[in-house]
Amino acid sequence: MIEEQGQELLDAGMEEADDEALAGSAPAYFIPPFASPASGLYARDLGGGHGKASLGPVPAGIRPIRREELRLDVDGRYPQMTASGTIGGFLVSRVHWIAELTKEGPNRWSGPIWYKDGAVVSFPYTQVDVKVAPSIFPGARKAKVTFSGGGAKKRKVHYRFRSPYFRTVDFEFDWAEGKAASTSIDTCAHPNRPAMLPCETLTIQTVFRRAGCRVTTTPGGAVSLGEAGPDAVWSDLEMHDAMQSYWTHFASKAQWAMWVFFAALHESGTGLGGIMFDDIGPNHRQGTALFVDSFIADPPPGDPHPAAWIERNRFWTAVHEMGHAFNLAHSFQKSLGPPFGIPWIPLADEPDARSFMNYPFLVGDTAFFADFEFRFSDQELLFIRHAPERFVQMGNAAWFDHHGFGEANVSDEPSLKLEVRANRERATFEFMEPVVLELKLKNVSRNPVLVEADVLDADSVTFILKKEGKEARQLIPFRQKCVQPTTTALASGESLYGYVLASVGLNGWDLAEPGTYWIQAAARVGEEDVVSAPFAVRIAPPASREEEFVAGDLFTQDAGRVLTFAGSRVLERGNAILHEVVERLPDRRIAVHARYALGNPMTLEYKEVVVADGELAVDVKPPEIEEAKDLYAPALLEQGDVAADTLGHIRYRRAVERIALRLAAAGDTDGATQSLDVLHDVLAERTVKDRPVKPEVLAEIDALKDELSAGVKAKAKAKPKAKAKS
Amino acid sequence: MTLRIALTDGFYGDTVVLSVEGGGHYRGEGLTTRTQISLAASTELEAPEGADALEVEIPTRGISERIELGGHENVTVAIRDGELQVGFPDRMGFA
Repeated sequence: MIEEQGQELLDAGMEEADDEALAGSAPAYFIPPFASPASGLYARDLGGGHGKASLGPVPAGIRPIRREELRLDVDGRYPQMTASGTIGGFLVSRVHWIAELTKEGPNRWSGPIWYKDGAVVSFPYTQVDVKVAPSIFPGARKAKVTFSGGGAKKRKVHYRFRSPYFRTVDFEFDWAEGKAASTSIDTCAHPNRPAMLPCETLTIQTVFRRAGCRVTTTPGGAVSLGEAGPDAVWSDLEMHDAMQSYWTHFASKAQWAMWVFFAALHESGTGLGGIMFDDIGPNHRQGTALFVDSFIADPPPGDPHPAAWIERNRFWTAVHEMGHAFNLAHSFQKSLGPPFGIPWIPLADEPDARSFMNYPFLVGDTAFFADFEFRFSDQELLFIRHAPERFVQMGNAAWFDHHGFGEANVSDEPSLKLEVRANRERATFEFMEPVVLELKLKNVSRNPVLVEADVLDADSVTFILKKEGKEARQLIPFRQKCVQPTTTALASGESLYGYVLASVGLNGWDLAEPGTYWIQAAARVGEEDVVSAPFAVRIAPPASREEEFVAGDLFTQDAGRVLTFAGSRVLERGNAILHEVVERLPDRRIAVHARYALGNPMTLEYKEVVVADGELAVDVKPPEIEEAKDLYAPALLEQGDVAADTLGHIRYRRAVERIALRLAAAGDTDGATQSLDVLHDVLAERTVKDRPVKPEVLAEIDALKDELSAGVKAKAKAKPKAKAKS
Repeated sequence: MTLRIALTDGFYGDTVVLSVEGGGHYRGEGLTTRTQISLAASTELEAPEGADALEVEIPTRGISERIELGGHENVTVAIRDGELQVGFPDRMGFA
């Protein structure tokens, strides 16, 4: 490990050194690799002490930390006096933070955290203190960061040095037939330049290395002019097509790689010097182009060195377009907000910046290049080095857009298969109808697999909900249990089943607005993430003004909790809303859920902690069976098929079995067996996508009925077998 | 003379009418800036010698302004915070 890291650092130095050698003289501010002892990328060693630095609390969605990085930016070239970090939990539970640093002493910096992104509830800290243990052996270099503030206990994390660069990116430079890809420049070839500018042969790769990126280059090649059509000028679509055909690394996904194309002219004419043309399709910013015969090859009259002027303009244009691929805006439009987009942080325009991202002609060509040091502005360097990866990485889009499970540790040869489904013919849900989805985890290997018995519980599975045109959201369940896990063996071909009410959680009602959603689930089994295929769910529009009106009350936390927990005797506001639903929308499916949630808690002895005479006491409310029946029976028994459809088979079975057990416990054996008869008949009649309910399920219902009929003592709180293996 | 006019940042589905007294006329509809080149549209208008003003009308924003040219031949027009921003660069090109 140490040798590998040392080699990378050495490579970084050699890459710079190669450029210096080409230049013929070392620039004044050349920084030898071992003189930069602190800045770079560090990674937390997760091999030990994992638990000591874990995050909490659980409701924010943080799972065990898989990856934690530190980017320390306090020395070396263009230091931003910044530390940033990414804590990779799982999926959207990622946390990204950025802190501004002040030097406190030798190898020590501290400062406030001013930016957070992701599951920030689990990351309350407001301050960092960074200590670096320097070493001439980079692999032995370490950093310790203490997170504090925000009312949380201090969190100390140890990191090991990984690389002098913050990002790693690959460039491929291709050219149109008859043109060349020039990727370097003699910085002193033109006399109009900063007086102190080091003379060197500067490459595009070196510009980005100095911006903090480890750069690799894939050898390029010529692109047939036939791709541009008979006019031999290029449209955006033609270039996009050429990118797909000629770019070695083209893929419809986010990746740290870009294609740079050198062509003669764009179809719009000589006024366009270059363009990041790739705002086509789902993965933007993968391709850029510059047009070597455009205005950038038209020096002003009287320029003392027109050939050098042209070379410099072409170099500037290439890096400028590549900057767009890193998602950098023009210097003079940084603050531009909606409808054009949202700056990642409030940004100020930099109309006078001598940056690759400015237009020289807006500053004045002569004035611009007189002070231009072939660099990006500090604001831009901060973005490239420290912004959340998804904002910067080529091909990436909005938070988790198309990449919801990019971090999952999926096995190449999975032993388990996870399926999300709705037990109905079409996954279209009425407006306000709670979306109950079922999960099936099947052992597709030849060998038994050990899984935790609660692996499919809602709080054990990670759910990502993605609505068309919106960012992905993680379902954060209301319930977060804390139990000692027990394992169970899943034989080859055997399956485990579970369900989730996916509409609502701690994040609110994420699955409620009309439209199409894609839902993916991931279950953690050992060190493997078992990820489902995306499952599409459609929410229909409101059927009436009445529904729209009631929806405003329903889409609240209280009502969501009562529906999720199948009832409450204390959340009075939630219950009142559900009563209103039953009264005003009796024929809609939400009424089935409401009736179940209202009736269910009345079937059992309900304990409530109350204050009596200044002391805590337990108030026990007896079951109110008849009142309960009035509520649940019209839903669960009189329209059992609708209930099985909207609750899903597993939840419906659990609901009826649980109620039957409680009826039996209360002495109503007839009521219990009649309920189970209905359950049996409803499920026996149902066929979803040519898949009948398994005979063993029906047999288990019969067996329970026989037990209750025989007067076997019912355990009112026993958990039915709805989630049994099948 | 020929005026080169670039409609740059801030246009979003806008209608723009440009005119020079005694000279050319331009009307563009549904103009939206491509932010990666900071350009919504560009045009060239013929202007009589001595023309000293460009009329800019953007009915979609309720903007109607007269821009004094001062002898400049390159004009950039942007919208920022609901107002026109005008520039007269020596050279123009986009990237």
